[in-house]
Amino acid sequence: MKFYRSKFFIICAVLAVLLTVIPSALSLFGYGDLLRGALKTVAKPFEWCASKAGDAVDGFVSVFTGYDELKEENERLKEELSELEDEKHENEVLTEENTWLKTYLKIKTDHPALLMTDATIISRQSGNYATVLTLNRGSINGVKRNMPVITADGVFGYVSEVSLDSCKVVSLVETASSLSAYTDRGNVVGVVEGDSVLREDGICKMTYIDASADIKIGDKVYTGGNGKIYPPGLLIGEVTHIEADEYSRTLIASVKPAVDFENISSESRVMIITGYVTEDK
Amino acid sequence: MQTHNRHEASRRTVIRRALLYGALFFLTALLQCSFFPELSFLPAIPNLTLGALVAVSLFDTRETALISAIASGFLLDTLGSSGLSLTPLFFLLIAAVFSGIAKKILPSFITYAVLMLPASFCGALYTLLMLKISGGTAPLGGLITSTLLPELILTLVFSLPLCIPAKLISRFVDAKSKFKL
Repeated sequence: MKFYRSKFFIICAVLAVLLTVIPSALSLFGYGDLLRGALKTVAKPFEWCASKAGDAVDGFVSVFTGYDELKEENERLKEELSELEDEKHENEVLTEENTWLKTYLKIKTDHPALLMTDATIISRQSGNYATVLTLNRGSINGVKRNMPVITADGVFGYVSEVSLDSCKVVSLVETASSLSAYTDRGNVVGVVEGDSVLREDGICKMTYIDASADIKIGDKVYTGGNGKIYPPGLLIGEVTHIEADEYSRTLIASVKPAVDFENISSESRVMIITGYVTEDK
Repeated sequence: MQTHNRHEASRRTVIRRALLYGALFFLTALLQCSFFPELSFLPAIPNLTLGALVAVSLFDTRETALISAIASGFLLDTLGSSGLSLTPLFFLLIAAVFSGIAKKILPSFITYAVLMLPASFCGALYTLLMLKISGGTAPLGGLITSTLLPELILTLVFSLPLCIPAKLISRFVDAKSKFKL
């Protein structure tokens, strides 16, 4: 007890009180303490080193302590990724469906009198230009021979054979194809038919054009509707070449179909026209 | 001549004590304020400075313990806290009590470990008190389990090795020599 009453202890106690009260009061009132500030400045580099060392140790330990959490998070993220991939696939399907429905709507808007059923190409004849295709619609879907087939771009061809659940379609560049046609600009009439030579280039020809007819390269060609197959007003293609027929006083025009036969693929969609109302031209 | 030599020896001892204990407390304060707070896997920060102070109180003189308490308390406040802090006073109290107890027991690792138990408890209580003073609204039960107990255990565990440097320093500065103002 004598020690606690000694001068030394009392001085220490007073010093402790001063070192507690003064800096605390200064700090509470927002004034920096000069001595603390100087000490802190000296200690700063050491503090930096110590905190970096602590950070490194923490990082090392977290590799082991965080393993289970990371594993759990990994599993959760894998699951989430799988769900997102499914969602993405679904969205792609819906987008495709949406695009197709817009196309269908456009065709219906352009040709409101047409009754149509959609079909998908399930196989195509081998070769660069798909001129004979098989569709996934047959007699059970109401499909009959000689029904026209179109795409959003224009006339594709007609149904040549029908089975129960599929049908064969002959494109308009095939030699078996023949349809009445007219041009939009000069109202020139003729017959669009396939050609064995031009077929290789995906082109058909328009024949029986009067020699004095006003036809030019670039003219759009439409179905005339005079035959039993195609309704009038469907886009066939565009005139790319005109020459005189060497055997008669008529012109022959090469017509590039609006449908891109080269790039038709399986899974592409087409429309089979199952009915329509004819109009007098 | 002899008096002069004794004064010279005493002065050298004082300087050695100041430097060596200063370095020890600086290191413990640095670890406590900059190293351990980075270790996110620890539930609390061990009070290493308190552990070093108890060691000095046990192995060195009372006077050394008291001066170390004031200096280390001030250093800890400078590096660690802002606002109100009573660390120099708290450390002075710890040094006064434990250096008094140390006079009656044989200084060793075992006695140090035994003394660290109540010292760690006091340190954890002090932390709890400062939390409450600074406006902490958490319930007491939660604070005991989340703050008091982890700090008590970690201070006890991490302070035990501090016995070795404190003992070495006290031997080096010849702790048996009397401290004179």
